Amino acid sequence: MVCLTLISPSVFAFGQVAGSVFINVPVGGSGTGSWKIFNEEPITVSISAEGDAMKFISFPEQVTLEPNNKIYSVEITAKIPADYNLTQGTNITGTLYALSEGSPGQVKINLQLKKNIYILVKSPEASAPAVNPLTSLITGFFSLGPAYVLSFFGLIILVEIILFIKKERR
Amino acid sequence: MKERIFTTFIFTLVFSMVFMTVGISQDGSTTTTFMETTTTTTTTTTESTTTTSIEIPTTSTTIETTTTTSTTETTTTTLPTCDITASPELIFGKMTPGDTSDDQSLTITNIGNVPSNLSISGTDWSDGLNIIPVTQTHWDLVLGKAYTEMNELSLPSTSVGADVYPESPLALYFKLRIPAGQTIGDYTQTITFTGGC
Repeated sequence: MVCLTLISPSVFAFGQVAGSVFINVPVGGSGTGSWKIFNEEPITVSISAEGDAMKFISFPEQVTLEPNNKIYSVEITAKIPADYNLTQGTNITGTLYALSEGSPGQVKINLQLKKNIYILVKSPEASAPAVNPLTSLITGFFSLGPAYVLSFFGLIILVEIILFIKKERR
Repeated sequence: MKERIFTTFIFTLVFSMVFMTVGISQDGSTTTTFMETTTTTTTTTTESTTTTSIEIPTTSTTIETTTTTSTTETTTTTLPTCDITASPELIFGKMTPGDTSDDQSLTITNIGNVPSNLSISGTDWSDGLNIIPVTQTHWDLVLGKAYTEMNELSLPSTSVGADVYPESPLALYFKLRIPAGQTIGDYTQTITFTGGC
């Protein structure tokens, strides 16, 4: 006779905020996103990933959730190397998993959450802000780049010379 | 004349250097950082406290944010969530090699407020030395099906083919068949339910 006596697994709930995780990342840069999960009881969950996005993201391997459904934000960091070729795709997808293991016993019931992640890759040109005094004025600040300063400097010298010549002619 | 040019030169040089190192804001304040890019944000907060509490009732998640300034205003936002539970325990009891169990039910409940998709996976039964293949465990959404007509449990995750809606528990029924000639022992198995929304 095969003895198969099942020890009762604990009843527990494991939840997440709906929606996907989107992270905008420029080539050669990084970006972050968060995945919000929660649980009624304090538990430690294991985080894992699969899919193409797995090569570009980092995250904590384990997180501890506080009780009473307090939302925990799992921080996901995506980094795209500078030599990434945009022809490989600008939308890198993957799946995140958070595993909550059940009580040990003859049958262990695990609950796992799944979340889709999308890394939206942008070219560096599209991501870098333009250095323009007028644009800067609109955003609240203006800056004088070296070229502008040198031009300003030369203009003053020129005006001084013109004024001097006019004065000498008199 | 030479003194005039020299003085002008020094004046413009100093003036230019000041502008190269000092950005000027529209409100007249200055910063000593050279603003090559313009990603500066200044935020001023005065006399405000923020408290955040999260309450998740049976069918919804509520984040309540209270901001206290000169007046008190309360904003309540309900987050879309899926929150799954599994109950109760599965009990197959003691079985003889070659036997097939009766249906054993397990209910998945979503206490969130948006539907959750659901998939299932399992491991082989093992007593540490011998195994019973995971596929000996069968499951279905319909009660009373013949063992051979039910779905085989597998290590790769498989969709159960139905979403779990809030306030609409999903029952799954399991049967186990012990292979004839199976070595006697205390076998264990892990079943994982994966939910997404």
